Amino acid sequence: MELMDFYNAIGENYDLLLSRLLSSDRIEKYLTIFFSENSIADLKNQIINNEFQSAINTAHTLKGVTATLGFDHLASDICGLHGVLKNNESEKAGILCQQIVEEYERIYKLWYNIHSKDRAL
Amino acid sequence: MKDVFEIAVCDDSSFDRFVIAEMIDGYFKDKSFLYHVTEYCNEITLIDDIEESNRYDIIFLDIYLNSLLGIEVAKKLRSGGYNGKIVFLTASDKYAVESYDVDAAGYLLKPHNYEKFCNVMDRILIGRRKNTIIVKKRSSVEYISYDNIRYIESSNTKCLIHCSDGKVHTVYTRLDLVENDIDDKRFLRCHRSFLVNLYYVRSMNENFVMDNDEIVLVRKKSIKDIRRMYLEYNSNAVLTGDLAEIAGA
Repeated sequence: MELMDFYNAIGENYDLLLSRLLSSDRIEKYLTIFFSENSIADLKNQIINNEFQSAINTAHTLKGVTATLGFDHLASDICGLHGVLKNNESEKAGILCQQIVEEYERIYKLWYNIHSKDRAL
Repeated sequence: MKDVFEIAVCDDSSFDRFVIAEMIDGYFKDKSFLYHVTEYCNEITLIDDIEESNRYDIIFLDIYLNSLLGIEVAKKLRSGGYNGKIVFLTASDKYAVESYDVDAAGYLLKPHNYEKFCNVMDRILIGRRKNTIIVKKRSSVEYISYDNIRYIESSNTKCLIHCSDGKVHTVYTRLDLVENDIDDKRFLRCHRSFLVNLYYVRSMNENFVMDNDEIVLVRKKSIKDIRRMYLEYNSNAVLTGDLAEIAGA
């Protein structure tokens, strides 16, 4: 499965991403790093443990990271969470974070399936 | 200025450090340019390292760091004498205007964009190449800054560039052509075979004595004119403070 198919499957615009990063190899490298780090799990744990300042910092970083990878929907949700965290709205933050985790898992599963198929081939 | 391009990337996000380092690799890939990247996950270590040895030509600096804003880090670096290039990385244009106060060479907005990154690098490298001699080697190209050249010596069909670090580089061209290309008041054609950088001259008798005791020959029939030019250079250098290092050598 090509990167374009992956981005189509998650509902994002691959052509736009490619016009910004100019190389599919580059995109592939960045995706590999992103999925190996799993910063979304860090964000979730920080919110569960009421470490709000750390969560604000992580959300801020993830806004840029997900936008760089062309995950615009995820970036928009994280942007919303970042605002909610800054306003100290912990209950809302928990709900938004759960949505973000679900969206991330959906993306990750598609990515994982693509790569396990590639390996099987 | 050094012949290897030293670059620091300071960002608390390992992903962003990876992205910038990868873009740097991509940018230099087709350029056969010597470079070295050092990554910093916090600003404290960066500031300490620069205070210790002011070695970076470019610093890529995140705006939102652990304890300080990137703008504040840049101000600290500038006040400590750092005069290399600073390029800010951020998702917000909030500090774009303020970045002028620290003479930023670029302000790259996230999401990362490879073309915009290359544009900033091009601008920086054009500035760097302006006062350099290009030395082509077997598998690379080096840019020798005028600042680092002690003197240039003609030797048959080539020129030997004698540098302040003791290295000698070879370029296959005539000294006349090198002399025409160098538009810098420090360089004086003192002999058929020598173009000297007066900054590195310690004294002059019948010839020039360099700061490392090497002798650079002076054309006998032009010695009066050359001495006058040397003295003129020295009196201007005293006024501008250019002589400080050599006088102490």
